[in-house]
Amino acid sequence: MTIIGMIMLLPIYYMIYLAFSKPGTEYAWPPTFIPRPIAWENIRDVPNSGDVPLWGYLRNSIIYTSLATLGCLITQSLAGFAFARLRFPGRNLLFGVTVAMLLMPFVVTMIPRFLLFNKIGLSDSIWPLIIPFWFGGSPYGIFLMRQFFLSIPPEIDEAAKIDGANSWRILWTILLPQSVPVLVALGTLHVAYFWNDLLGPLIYCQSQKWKTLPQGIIFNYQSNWNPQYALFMMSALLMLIPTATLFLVLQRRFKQGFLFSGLGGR
Amino acid sequence: MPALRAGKPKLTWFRHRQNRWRKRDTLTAYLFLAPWLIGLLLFYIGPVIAAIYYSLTDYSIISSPKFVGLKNYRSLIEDSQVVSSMKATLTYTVFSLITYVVISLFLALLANKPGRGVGAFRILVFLPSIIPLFAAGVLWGWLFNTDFGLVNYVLNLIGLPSQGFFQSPSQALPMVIVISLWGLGSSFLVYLSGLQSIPTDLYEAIRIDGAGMLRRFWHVTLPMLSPVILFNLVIGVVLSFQVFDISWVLTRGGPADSTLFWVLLIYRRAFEEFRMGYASALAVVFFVSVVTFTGLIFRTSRWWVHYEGRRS
Repeated sequence: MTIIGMIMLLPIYYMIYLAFSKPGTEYAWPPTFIPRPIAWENIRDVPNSGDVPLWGYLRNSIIYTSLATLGCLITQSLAGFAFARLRFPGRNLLFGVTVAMLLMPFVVTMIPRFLLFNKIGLSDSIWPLIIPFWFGGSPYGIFLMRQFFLSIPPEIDEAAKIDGANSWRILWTILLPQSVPVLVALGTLHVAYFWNDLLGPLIYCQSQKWKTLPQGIIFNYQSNWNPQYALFMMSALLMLIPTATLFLVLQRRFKQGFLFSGLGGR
Repeated sequence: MPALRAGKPKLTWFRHRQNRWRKRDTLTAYLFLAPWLIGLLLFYIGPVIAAIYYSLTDYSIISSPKFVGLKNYRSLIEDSQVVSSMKATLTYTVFSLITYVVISLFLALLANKPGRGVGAFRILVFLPSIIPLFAAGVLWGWLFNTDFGLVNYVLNLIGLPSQGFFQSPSQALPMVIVISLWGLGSSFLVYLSGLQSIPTDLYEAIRIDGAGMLRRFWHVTLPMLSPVILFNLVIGVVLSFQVFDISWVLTRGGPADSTLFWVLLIYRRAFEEFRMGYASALAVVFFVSVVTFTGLIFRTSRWWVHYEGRRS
């Protein structure tokens, strides 16, 4: 276990190592166990030392990640609730279609989506990355929310229903407060995806003012003729902080296995 | 509500109310589902139909699509890059599934035992997979750099010759497969939660029967976990087919197209060469392959997946 742990640690260790290397000493021979000298100034230098400061990219990444995640959580809870709690004609069919979409690779819909956004003149902006996620976005989240709502005993909201509460109030005051852990988990998965997404921004964010952090870091520090590994890794390391924090906080919750509630056997 | 079908007169009022609820339910349901239904049509089903249509056309964005029949598919077969990208993608998928399905199960079994350091172990196994892929690509590229990389330095120290790694046409793809090992975090987590939901009395029962570790694994863990294995297998196929970031950042598809994965090829044809029709044909073939692959898995799954709720 120790050996496997060490192997798994390797990229992180090396990433931190490079991030704190003095720019230019990445090539130093022989390599040392910790970078010498430790270049703390990289943290300060990183946002401004590329051709274009990283702040603009950071702003776009934050807009993309937060708006898309928010849209996902809202529309996926609504859809998940409808599938879990309401009876209506076409439910099984629609749910089947939704689950089938789990297997739909992004690549297949990528080109027509681009052409669609191109037609309405949005193709060079960040909005095509966000808009689909205000329309349910990924079927995975809908599936997960439905499974979770199903695991909550229906007696509670049935009682509320007899008392005259409508579906909106049942969802908002009874089910969602109980779903905070799963919402946080789902949110984290989405945040990690949007935050690190490269292919989406590559397609849509053509002009400088829309580019996101991954593009910015690659553009600034990974040019073919003069790659700057220290600053590249420092910016990637700083970029890792929000997602790493979210996952570490969540770690205890992941252990409870609720992410998977109801998958076996249904 | 089968209990209400008895149709006793006393229940008429109640049934009336039930009916009203049901109508309201339908309305609410479609209201709640509206965003997703629009999204489903606009961003999933519509695009798939459109992709099939575009694949039968010549379309360069500037001019309007021109219907050309199956021409794109015919030139697909003759395109040597298509062949190499299919080969690279399939090889990557098959081998990375070993990582996502087998190795991560092994790690999850290790991490499921109580003991000291298990928490740290779980974090260590999971953590590398949240490194953004584009950064991981650059990191590995530098570590395995032909001229300046640490690995070749160590190889030279112990008297072995430097290797080309990502710069060698025969080593680049195996390297990409090997580094997928550090991305198994999510399938690991899924296994872990699956393992924790296996009731312990099953283990106690088989232990009383005197079964050893291997038999416990074979007769309890594996069957109870089989739906989770199926899940990881299917998600693994869909994700592995879409491998992109590393080849875009690190190898640019090379050397000699050895890591020119399918998605990278589609991306290039569509957004660098603006051959939307041709790229759509590629996407359609891609889609059919994924569906076939996962279809095969589902077909075989009834032989090996055990659903606890459906025991006869």
